[in-house]
Amino acid sequence: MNRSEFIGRFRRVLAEQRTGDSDDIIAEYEQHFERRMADGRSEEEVAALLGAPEELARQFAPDKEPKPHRGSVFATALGLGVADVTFALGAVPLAGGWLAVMGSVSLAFLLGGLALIFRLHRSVAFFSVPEMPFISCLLLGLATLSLGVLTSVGAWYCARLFAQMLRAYGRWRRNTWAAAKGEPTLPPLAVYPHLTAKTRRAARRVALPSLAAFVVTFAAGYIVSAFLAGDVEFWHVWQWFV
Amino acid sequence: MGLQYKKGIVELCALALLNRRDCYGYDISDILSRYVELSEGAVYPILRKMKSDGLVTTYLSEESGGPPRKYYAMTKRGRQVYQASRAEWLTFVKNVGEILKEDES
Repeated sequence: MNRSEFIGRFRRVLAEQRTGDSDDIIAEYEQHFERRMADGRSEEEVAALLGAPEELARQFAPDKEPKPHRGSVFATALGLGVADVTFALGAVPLAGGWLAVMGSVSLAFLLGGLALIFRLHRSVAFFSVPEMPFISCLLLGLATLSLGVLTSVGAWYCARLFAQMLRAYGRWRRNTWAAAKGEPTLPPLAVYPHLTAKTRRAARRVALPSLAAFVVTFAAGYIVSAFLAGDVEFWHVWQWFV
Repeated sequence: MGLQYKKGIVELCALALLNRRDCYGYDISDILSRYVELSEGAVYPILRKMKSDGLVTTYLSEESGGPPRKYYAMTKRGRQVYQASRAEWLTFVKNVGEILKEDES
């Protein structure tokens, strides 16, 4: 039996018993063929080692247990409708608003930091930055920039989280509806985004140094400014808020 | 050995492998089929059942220059179940060993 015959026979039984997510299952066996054949095995050998396709496919049969929700299609539709309205009018605008705030705050910090470091208020009328000595500008600008990087990482994680929550809700909704109609359900999705080890490392490598940079430059900026102005409340001396 | 019995053992071994690192389904099938007498394809239905029981989760990871591949990772619940089943299994094997040892002499 070659590869396409194995997959064909396997697929037929999956379709007969109405197994959900059959493409995903088949992809796993295709991957097995590819890895084994890369080791130098023939299609026939791999198929023989896998086992009888019909017998394997039957082990993916959906559970035969009676579904407790079955028959209440109307009530389920009503419930899902209420859940959808709550989700669309409550959770989605809340998440969207939060992301907009996080995004604008991050952008403002990044731009403000750059403006301070490059003293853009001298040349660009858009930035209104209070007067202070160059070294204060530089240190406080670096602090603001680091804070901007940090909140950008936060905004990125929130975006991933909300996207995953949206997907998890979609899956839950689909499963609830399928269960009400007695159709096969799919495994539920996790609410938290699954970040690969590589992504997690990268996020940490950006967030931790920017936090450290913020703390150091802010403290240094404060101390230097207080020293130069001769007052711990240096903003009064430089008349920032007059 | 009964099939149900074997499934439980495969589940425990798969949890042990995933406790160390995230794996492809292929890796689990490859390692387990060498130790447990089982057709290579039979590991995948067990992994799927473990997923729907919430013991493991899957994610796609893109390798350089290939199609995205499915990784299996242990969930928090999987870790708890693994710790409990591992202890249970070790005690079980020790007790059975003691009973069988009496016939040695």
